[in-house]
Amino acid sequence: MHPSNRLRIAAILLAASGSLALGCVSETTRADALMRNTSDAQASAPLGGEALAQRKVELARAFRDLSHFNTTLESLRWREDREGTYLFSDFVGLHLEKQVFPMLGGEWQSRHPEVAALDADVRLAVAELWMRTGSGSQTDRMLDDIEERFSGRDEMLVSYPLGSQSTLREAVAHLRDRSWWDR
Amino acid sequence: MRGGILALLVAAASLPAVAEESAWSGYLDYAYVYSSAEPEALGARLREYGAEAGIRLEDHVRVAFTDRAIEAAADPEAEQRRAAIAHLLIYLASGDTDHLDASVDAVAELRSHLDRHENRYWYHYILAHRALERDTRFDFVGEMLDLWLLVIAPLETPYDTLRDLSLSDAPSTGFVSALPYLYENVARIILIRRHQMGVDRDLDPLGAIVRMLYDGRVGAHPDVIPVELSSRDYLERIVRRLDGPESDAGSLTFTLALFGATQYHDHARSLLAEQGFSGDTLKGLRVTNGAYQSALDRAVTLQGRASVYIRVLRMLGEVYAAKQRLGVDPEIESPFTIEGAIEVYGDLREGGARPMEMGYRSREDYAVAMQRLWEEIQETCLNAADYYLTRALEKRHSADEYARSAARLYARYLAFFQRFASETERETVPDSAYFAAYEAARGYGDALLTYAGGRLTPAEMRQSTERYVAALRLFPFDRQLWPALAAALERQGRESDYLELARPVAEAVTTSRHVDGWIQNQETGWEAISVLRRALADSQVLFYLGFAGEDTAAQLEASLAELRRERDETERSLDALVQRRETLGRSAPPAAPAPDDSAATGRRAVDAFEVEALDREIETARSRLRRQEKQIAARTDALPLFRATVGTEELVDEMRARRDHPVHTLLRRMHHENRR
Repeated sequence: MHPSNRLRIAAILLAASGSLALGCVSETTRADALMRNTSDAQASAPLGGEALAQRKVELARAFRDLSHFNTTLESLRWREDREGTYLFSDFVGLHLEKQVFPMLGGEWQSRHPEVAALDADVRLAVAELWMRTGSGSQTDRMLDDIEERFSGRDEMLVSYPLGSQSTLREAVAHLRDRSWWDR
Repeated sequence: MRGGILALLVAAASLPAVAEESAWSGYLDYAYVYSSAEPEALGARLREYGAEAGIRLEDHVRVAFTDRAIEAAADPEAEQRRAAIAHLLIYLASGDTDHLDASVDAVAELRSHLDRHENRYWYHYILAHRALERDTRFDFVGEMLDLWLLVIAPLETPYDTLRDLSLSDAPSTGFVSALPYLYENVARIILIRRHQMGVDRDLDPLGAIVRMLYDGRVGAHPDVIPVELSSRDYLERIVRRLDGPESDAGSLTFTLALFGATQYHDHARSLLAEQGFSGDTLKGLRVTNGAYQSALDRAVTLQGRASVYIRVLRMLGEVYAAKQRLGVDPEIESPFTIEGAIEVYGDLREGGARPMEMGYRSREDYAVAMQRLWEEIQETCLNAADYYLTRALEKRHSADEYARSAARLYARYLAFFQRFASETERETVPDSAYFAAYEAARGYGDALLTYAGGRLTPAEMRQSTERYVAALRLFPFDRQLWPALAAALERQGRESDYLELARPVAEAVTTSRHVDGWIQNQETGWEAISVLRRALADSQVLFYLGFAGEDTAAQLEASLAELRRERDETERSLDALVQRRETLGRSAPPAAPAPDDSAATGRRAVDAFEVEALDREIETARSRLRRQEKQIAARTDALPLFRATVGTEELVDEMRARRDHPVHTLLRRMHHENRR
């Protein structure tokens, strides 16, 4: 990321968290409130009905977005665009932190038959992103977590490599086998 | 695009009256609806709102957004935001950068209130405009990424929830309901405003945002913004190019550069159609050339370079076609050459085993790009050569020079064809390449033998003839080419070589398994091909093809009765001669007469002379009869076959007009069948 941008984002985040902590939010709309009330606890709770449908939508959207990120990182690497890669990698990191990880926090969806495959897709896409951004150890940790989380279900079909399908076992093996040069 | 903006403005016109103190408060709170309008439309809308509010926005800014007025307002934060928006709108409508600076200053005051998405949206949106104005492209990219990360993404799940509950239009939903407009505004600032401001580098990180906007976002809320009024179509074209064979390894920077160049190209093309080579057209072509050069400069991969050449060769071909059609020859400089394109093709071919390393996403994309580049190279060569031949006809004093220029272009394509059109290159060489090679080979011969005004060297004569033969091998179904070959040989005094050269070509057709299959299966054009195959199977017809024009054939057919009468007469004459000959007995010398029988000696001598003369006459009559029988046979059997070939010329025209004509496939098969 461009240094000035990095600092700017940090400042913005600091300002945002500060104002949240102080509770100095004026004219709060219902929607803003709705967002802030979506805590990790709720995200981790078992879901059904409309809430489950909503989670499916979110996971599917997250997976597609992460696929777009992977495509973009691949393009940047192709062009050896270092500044663009730094800028975008930071964006990806923050996006994962703010949008994706809260969604993956709970255990239940990895076990839920209706969303488990989507959950695995998103986790594999995250592992791929980390690999592309040079976070090899995080990739390995994510793959370890996937193996543990989906233990006994490694024949489950997942959307990996991007644009195709394979079993979870093959997907994990493929990601592990990719050389550091590839990464 | 303008229609979409107008629709947004119409929607904005029905906004609820919000502020009691000034209608401007409401207009500014909903500015995300119309802020992406084109400057003229935005200016008009602001004037209209001013009339409704009873005060122009510029005046409202001076009165309502002083520091003191903002502090005194019931909601200073909202007033501060409105001040920033108002200045931005004036800047966008007028281009007055002082207002952009004022907008930036005003929005900076909201830094401590960025937890509110509405503030954060305007904060990043305004800073993005400043980055465009200053041409600080990294800042622009950074602002857009921040806007997505900190505004768009957090609003998506709440918007879905509210929409599911049918609450997305409720006034109390606040800024969440603005999401469809925010998508639209982000799309427009990246695709349109950025282009208008000339920021055209280092945009690749925004590729992800463009893809996300296209993926179920822009155009996905027709109840809010009708799809046809959104930038969905524009986005679709960009994303298709990003992911398609015309990309540069997925680079948004390159895709936007090439897309911009093709827009200039479209404009120049329409000017060319409407005004010919007017000053505006020439300027448009220069701008297009420059834009294609910029796109080429942005290309990192061979895929990108090939994509530019595909487009730019199309333009070159169009220019040559227009010069030919309009009969004018303006000077149009271009940094692009056919040689450059051929070089790129060669590089692509060299890396064919690993197309992914050249930027392609799949082998299919690589093959599509290769075929398209080939087609453009071939069409540009043929169009340019056509143009030179036309000039050769128009300017007889320079005919030789123009004809040789045409021949050089044909030769260039033929060399390209010979280098790359191997049997193993089915994937990367289009079927139409073979017919184009026929056109080039024939064109080469025509250029030198027909169009060139000067004298040809023996080597050139020989080469032209060889090219005619090559053309016949590539496309033996051009009945006009056979007489061209015969005439070329005639000019060299080599008519007798005709059958020797023509027969192998004809035999290749008559023995071709592919031609036979084509006729048996009654594939497209089989009737004409069948007629020509029958004709080529007969060496008499082959001769007619070379040496008889249509008029000659008609005359020969009309004189058949006369020939039969002559044959009958010859027959009768022969019969009479034979009978007479029989009355004279044997022609062998008789026994020697007595020495004193002088009269008998004289009579026998006369008989011997008469018999010899009669035998010669009989032989001559028999020879004439054989020739006449042959001529009659030829005119009754071969001539109809030759006459049947008249009309098959349409096949040539159809194939020239349609590069996807099925017979192109047959030509390819025949070519490689003959070379095995």
